[in-house]
Amino acid sequence: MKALCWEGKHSIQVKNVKDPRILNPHDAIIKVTTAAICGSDLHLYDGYIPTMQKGDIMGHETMGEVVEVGPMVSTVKVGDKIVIPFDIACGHCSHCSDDEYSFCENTNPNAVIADTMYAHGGSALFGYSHIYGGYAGGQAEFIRVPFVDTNSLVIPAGIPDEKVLFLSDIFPTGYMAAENANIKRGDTVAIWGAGPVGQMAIRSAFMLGAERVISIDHYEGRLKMARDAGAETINFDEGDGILDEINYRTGGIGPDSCIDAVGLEAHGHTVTALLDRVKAATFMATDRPDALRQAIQSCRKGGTVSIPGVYGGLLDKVPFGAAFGKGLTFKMGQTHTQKYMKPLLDRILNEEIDPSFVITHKIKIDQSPEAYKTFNDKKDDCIKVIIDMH
Amino acid sequence: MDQNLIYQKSRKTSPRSQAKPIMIAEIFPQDLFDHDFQKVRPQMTTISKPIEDVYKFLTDSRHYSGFMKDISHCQITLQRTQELVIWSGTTTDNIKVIGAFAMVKAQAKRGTIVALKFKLDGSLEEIKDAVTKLMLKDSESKAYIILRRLKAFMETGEVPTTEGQPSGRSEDLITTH
Repeated sequence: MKALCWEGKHSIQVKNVKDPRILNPHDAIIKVTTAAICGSDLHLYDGYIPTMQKGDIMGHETMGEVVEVGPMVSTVKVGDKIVIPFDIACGHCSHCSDDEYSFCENTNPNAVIADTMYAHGGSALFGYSHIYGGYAGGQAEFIRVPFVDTNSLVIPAGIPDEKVLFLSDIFPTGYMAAENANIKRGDTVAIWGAGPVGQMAIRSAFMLGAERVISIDHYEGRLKMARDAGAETINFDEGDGILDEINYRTGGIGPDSCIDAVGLEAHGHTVTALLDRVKAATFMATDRPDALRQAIQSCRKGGTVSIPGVYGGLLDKVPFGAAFGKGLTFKMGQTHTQKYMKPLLDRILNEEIDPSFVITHKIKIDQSPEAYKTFNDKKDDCIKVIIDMH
Repeated sequence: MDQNLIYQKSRKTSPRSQAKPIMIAEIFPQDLFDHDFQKVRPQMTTISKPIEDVYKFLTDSRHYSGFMKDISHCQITLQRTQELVIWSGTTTDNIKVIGAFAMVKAQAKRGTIVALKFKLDGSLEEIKDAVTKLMLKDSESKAYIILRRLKAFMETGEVPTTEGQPSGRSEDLITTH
């Protein structure tokens, strides 16, 4: 089969590799119909996530048709069209029982690495380094899905892939970010990053009762997409200071909730952002958390900072004194995708939202290496790339 | 806090103040182990299964091949009901190993806390201290991995793996002629 393989920093190649096969009794093999490139794939592309190995198959936003199931699979059937969550959960451990699927304790074969780094590592992820299990990803013509009864959502016939593909990650991630933000009716929510997760978070915040959403980015195409959803926007390349601007727009009290949908590769022109770049380039820091710093500093007293953006290591100059002084609540972490897939599918079927609005590029698999570059360089107004796999 | 301290609630008393502390030393009786084995730090996990099920599972050495990697010919050498299972086995390098599972009921409905001490059998005293420490450390890592695999096997019926999956590495590439 054809698969997109990580060959090193800024190097993705299409390779002809062996087909996957059933390895465990709860596995299934899926013929992938559509996959997407996620913003967090760019952290791999840029070499920010450790323990990638040359030849690893990329991808964690995937859907397709079930073509084979293992002997212990009970609900999913051959022929089902499924969306696959990016996190891999067993469905049996205490965390899965509590709907905390991304904390699953039984799916990461390399748990000892994750536990060494984080004391208690989370679930495995598709196509996202060997810390997270080293599972082959879904930017391939076929994928093996462990515990498929837990890690799938069967899609009714006749629904286009584009409408439901993002149930695999960015829609649940944006929604959980908004849910984590403790939004009450009438609230103001500021969201850093107007990429795909930020866009989903904007719409989810409104769904959950936000009166105002302020979207912060510096790409005009993304800000326009945010305005289309009803958000106010701030281009941080313009004006004197992002914190002053947010303070001004919120009557001097700050947003009730702040969502960092940027993560470890923040752009910006502040002194701390420039310092982050230097430190990252010289291997003195792992993450560039300037969006998080701004979220903490601008949030109102007693507010909530929700962090769907990915962080990987140790963060420098995070204003924790401000967080303490204002009594902020922090919520963060990988999305418990399985918890949100069905209710969000219902919202799609009820026509409350069509997540395909975010798609800017549709390509064939052979065009993918170039698409990675385009997405990474933010060229051609690229916001979301989906790949037709067959 | 002493990491070897486990709190076990009494069935008849629920207030936390009456929790009964159980030391690992109580679970791993000192008179059963030699000096080297005493020094091995136990690794722990919590399995979402009743202690009766965990004990029953661990007292059947035929189950061990399901979650042990690179260790075979396991046999039980001592067992104490719902407390302790001591076993021995052989690694693929033909080194004899001994291990001891200890278990206590976890609080609330969390299942069973299982601890494992594990070491390569042999005369470690003959080896210089630094090497001994390394081997002990290695034993702790192996015990940790065994426990993770045991937990997965008991809770899900399988051990997670990626061995045999495709990749873009040379051994998995298909060449066309």
